[in-house]
Amino acid sequence: MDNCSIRVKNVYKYFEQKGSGSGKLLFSEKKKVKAVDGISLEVRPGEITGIIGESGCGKSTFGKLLIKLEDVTSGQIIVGDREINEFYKNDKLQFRRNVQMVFQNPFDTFDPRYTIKKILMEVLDIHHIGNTKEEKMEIITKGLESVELKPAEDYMDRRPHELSGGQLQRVSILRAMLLKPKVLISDEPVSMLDVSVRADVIKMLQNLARENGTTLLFISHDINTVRYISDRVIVMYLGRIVEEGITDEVLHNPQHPYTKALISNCSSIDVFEKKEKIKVDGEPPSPIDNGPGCYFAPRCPFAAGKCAQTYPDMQKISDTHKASCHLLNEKEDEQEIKN
Amino acid sequence: MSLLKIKNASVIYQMKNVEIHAVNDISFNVEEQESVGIVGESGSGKSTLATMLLKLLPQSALVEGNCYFDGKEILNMTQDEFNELRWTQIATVFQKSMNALSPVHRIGKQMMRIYKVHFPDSSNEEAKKRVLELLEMVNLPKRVFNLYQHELSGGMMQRVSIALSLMFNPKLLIMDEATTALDVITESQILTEIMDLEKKLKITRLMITHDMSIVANTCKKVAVMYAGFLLEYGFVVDVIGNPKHPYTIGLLKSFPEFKGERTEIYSMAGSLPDLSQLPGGCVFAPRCEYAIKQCFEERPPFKVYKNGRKVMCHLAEEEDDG
Repeated sequence: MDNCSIRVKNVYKYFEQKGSGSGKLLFSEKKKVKAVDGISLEVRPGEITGIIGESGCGKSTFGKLLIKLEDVTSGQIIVGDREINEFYKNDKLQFRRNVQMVFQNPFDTFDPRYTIKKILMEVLDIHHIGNTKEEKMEIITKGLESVELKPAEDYMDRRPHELSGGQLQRVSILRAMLLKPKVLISDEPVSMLDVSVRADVIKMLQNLARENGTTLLFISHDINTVRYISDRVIVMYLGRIVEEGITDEVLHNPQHPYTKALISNCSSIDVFEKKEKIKVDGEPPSPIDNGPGCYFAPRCPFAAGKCAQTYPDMQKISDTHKASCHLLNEKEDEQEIKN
Repeated sequence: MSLLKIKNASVIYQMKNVEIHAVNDISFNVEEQESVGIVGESGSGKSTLATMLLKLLPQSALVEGNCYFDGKEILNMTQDEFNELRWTQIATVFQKSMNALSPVHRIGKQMMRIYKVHFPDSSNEEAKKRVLELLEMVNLPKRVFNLYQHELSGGMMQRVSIALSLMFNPKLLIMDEATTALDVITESQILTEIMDLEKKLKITRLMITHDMSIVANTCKKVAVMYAGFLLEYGFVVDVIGNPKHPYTIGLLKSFPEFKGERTEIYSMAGSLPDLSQLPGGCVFAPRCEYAIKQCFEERPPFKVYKNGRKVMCHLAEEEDDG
């Protein structure tokens, strides 16, 4: 599998709500939470893509769909040139070897009774990497040193609780990268870490991805970090993509009001700067009955009549930048009138 | 007079075989209505400092030094004496309000109970009126009164926590990572609200966070802590605008900026020292890229600049640009 692109076509993931209808209406239709509500996208091989959005916008669910921790309700995900359901069914081991994930909290992802050596050894054993014990040990030693855990012998016999969060997150990234996966999905890998260590872990992740040509999906709500690491950015709101494109283009010339609001509220350490923040009221509603209009319309400070009626289509702003908002048209209309 | 005066405060956790020096000889003053942000990595002792001010430390912790709140010494007070001040004068908002609220009582009911702790003779109507007032103050709809904790979102819960802390119009509000778990938009909504309330109710805020940007945007003064030591203290404009301590410089540099070129993010090598065996010299020396011999041998004194700015570093230059 040389081609490690990800192609996602109209993917939906609905969760059925338990107990809705309060038992009185036995056959009433259960309410559905639309966690991922029609996402189509294409990620080129070796590209680092950042996904941003508030909590509850479905970004983590989307990540889980890609690694088959959740099954899609409808739609198609193609990794490389194979459909993932078929891929997973026929060759589970090969699928796992090619698609890996790094989670947010490293303390929850390891067996607390295992030593670091055993944790990493297990990965090699399962996937039959290295023939002899010596060979495996060498891979582990090299790996630990490549993630700046030097000298490796010091760390091998420790258990997860004897490492700091930053160190453990490195082990967790190493565990995924030992397999040289084609696709790595990292769900908020640095949000648990301190600022001073964060930079190191991000750099490490970026280097490993570049070295191995891994396609990296970086899920985060921290725009500053996403800007730093990714080539392309996807902005999600209530299960849908509202804007996507090349990082600098999207973040420095945001077109969708939601992206604009996110960016204007994003933190800065410049004490002399006085920024005008776009105020967004309320919180994202739960995606159960979204109505026909634009999902962001109820909170959008610029919403017009049309916004509540139809969902805006994706529109091209440039070849590498797309957004879905009714107001984009209006601006062009105005310009046309002026001309 | 300063609202809060911390003088040579130290906290030592006594474990079985070791003593953890969590807070070391910290002194600074908090003036009325001058919010102070305390920043540092995890393990730098910032939460211990807050817990000390609230007198919530475990029995095994050894506290030294003095703290004056409104002229009264609080560290030597008995719990009963301090209970008079607690929540009426000094209130707090914790990071995980999810754990601070009772899951089996309706929000309104548990808030009313807290009201009655300090006003045991008040009627139900009185208490309810106050609670509704508070909910309105933090922009929560009235229906929250009859909801349970699990029916609220993270942002709403944090708002309830803030409303609770404002119940008796405290003078000092300690916020321990109060907005860390929230989304960008919710975070900035809540911070703006807090700043408005602060002006209205004349509250002084002690903001504990690891996020420099929150301090830069919402506080007047900043205290930078590392391994239990106060390394730099002063007005936000001075400290963040022109950092003097290598640790502060490093912290600021490792913050990925949104503007400008996408350059390499700076990262500080190494990690916090073992707090049970503090090095003899400067605590930051092992990680400091500018460290000289003196740094490892001698603990640096505070260099004092104008505007009450303090820097604990051998290498910080003397008063320069005046």
